[in-house]
Amino acid sequence: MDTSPNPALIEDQDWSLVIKPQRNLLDLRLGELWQYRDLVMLFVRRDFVSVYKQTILGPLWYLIQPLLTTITFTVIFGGIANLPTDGLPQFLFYMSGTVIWTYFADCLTKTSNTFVSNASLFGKVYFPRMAVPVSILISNLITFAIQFAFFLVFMGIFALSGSTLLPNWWILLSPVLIFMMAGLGLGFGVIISSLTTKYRDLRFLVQFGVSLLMYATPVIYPASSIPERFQWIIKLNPMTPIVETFRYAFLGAGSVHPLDLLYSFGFMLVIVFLGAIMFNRVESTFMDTV
Amino acid sequence: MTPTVISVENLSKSYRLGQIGTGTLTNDLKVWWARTRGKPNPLLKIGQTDHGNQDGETLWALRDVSFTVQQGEVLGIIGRNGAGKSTLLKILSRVTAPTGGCVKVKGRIASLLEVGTGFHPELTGRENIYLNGAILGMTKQEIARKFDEIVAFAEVEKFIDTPVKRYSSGMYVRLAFAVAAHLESEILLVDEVLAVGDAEFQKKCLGKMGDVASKEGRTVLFVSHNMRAVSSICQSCILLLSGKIQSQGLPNIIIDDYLSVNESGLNYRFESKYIKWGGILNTEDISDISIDENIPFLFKFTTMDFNNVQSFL
Repeated sequence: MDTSPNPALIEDQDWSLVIKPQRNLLDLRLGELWQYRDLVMLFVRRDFVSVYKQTILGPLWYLIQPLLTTITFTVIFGGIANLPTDGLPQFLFYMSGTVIWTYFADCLTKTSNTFVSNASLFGKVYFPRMAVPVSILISNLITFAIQFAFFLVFMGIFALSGSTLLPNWWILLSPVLIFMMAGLGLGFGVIISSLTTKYRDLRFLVQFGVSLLMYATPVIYPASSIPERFQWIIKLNPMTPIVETFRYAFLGAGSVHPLDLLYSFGFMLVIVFLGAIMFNRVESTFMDTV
Repeated sequence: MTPTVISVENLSKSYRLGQIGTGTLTNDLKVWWARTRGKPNPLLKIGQTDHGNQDGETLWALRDVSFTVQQGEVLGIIGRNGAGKSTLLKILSRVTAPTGGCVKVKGRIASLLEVGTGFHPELTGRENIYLNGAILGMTKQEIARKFDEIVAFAEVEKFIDTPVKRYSSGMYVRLAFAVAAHLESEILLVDEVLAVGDAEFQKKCLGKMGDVASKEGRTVLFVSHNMRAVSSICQSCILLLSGKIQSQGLPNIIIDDYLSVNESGLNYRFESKYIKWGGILNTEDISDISIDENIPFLFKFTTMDFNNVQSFL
């Protein structure tokens, strides 16, 4: 710009925004996300309001889904396959597993679609792209709260009818467990969504991969029912300690190993970190490849 | 002196032509594996040269574009399809990152690239105003403050609690434009949105855009093929040609330039199955010419005085 002396440039003003080809990958711009918090909450609202419009049962579907899944599991895995449940009532055992697993699975599958399903929106206007996955986590968290409250209702019913349930102090850890699930779902989800801008194959993998992963997690069986020599396989899965601890905290049966929980927590941090970097890298130019 | 609010410096953007990557993950991995061992690309055809990660050619949508925009200025950007107008706006609105150069901006940028972006059909007009406003960067309080104004401008008072999927396309567009026009951003990017809506609403939009700049001191970048709109609301104009700035200056002169640019120089010449015509156009004659570039060689003349056209074919 030496050829055309521009007084404004010489002044060197305080620019509020500089658009450059490459951004620092570690610059996650969380402050900007905070500025757009209203948008995040409106996305959450949109997800809620729009999903059950023009349905008769409306929000009741939030309760019907886990209920039907639990009944199915109770009949098939409890009744027909006769899998052990650590001495817990089968219904409660499967319901706790389903509700917890659904939160993780929904976070993962929905965030993994971030780029592809929002391509038309992202292609027109700028806002921090992270607003979409974060809003998904929040709206799923609300769904989870509703479903978990539903589970607590059933817990109360079973306790009153004489089942021995031993809720204990581990309950206090549940916010941390939920945070870990959200982190794992978000991390895996954004990694997959960053990769799907180039390779659509991953979308198919996610669809059945998540349901297969459920069988590698103690959702329909207790971890204690796995033979000793295969225990390490199931312990590699970062979701295992979360589900087991949850169940132990609320129902009093299951296994809690603080070291395994630490492993899950570390795993979650690594995945979130990787996911954030990949997401950051993809978001600036994904419109050219999607 | 009015301060500079946008400074575009040597901005470039390249796109790769043809397929991105090799198409499959396994082939991408093969290429990556060969390259990490220092071997040539195994998928390369004989005679092809290996240039980095790309097999296809590179298209420079923008190349070394530099200009500045002053506060309160309405800058028109014109040029043929593929000249780089939309790419420029996309970079300015941060939808995609440039390949080279940089843009420095002072103030918030709001883009109005396509109306109704982010509208959710199931939500009501009211809910969509909030959602759309937030997508465009407004906070909830800002939208609430402007809500009545937006509804009045869009003329949809009666339908504000109806899902927008029941709206007519005109109502939809009016609402979308109204939200964007009431943004509290210092810079507004507008791309071809005025092609929709009836004549009266188009006039209202143009008026609003003029007001935004002259009364509120906001800056507008306006991309359009509608030369009349450009000449009436813009104070200056940039003509892009194949990703470079061909000329910049007063709208009428630049429009004149645009309409006369082709390979042979100053004359406009076209040929089709039905018509063969060329000539030198005077600015007065082209006041109502519109060129639909999506359909090759479709020209619409309204008040064209053919006697004034100096034919040379």
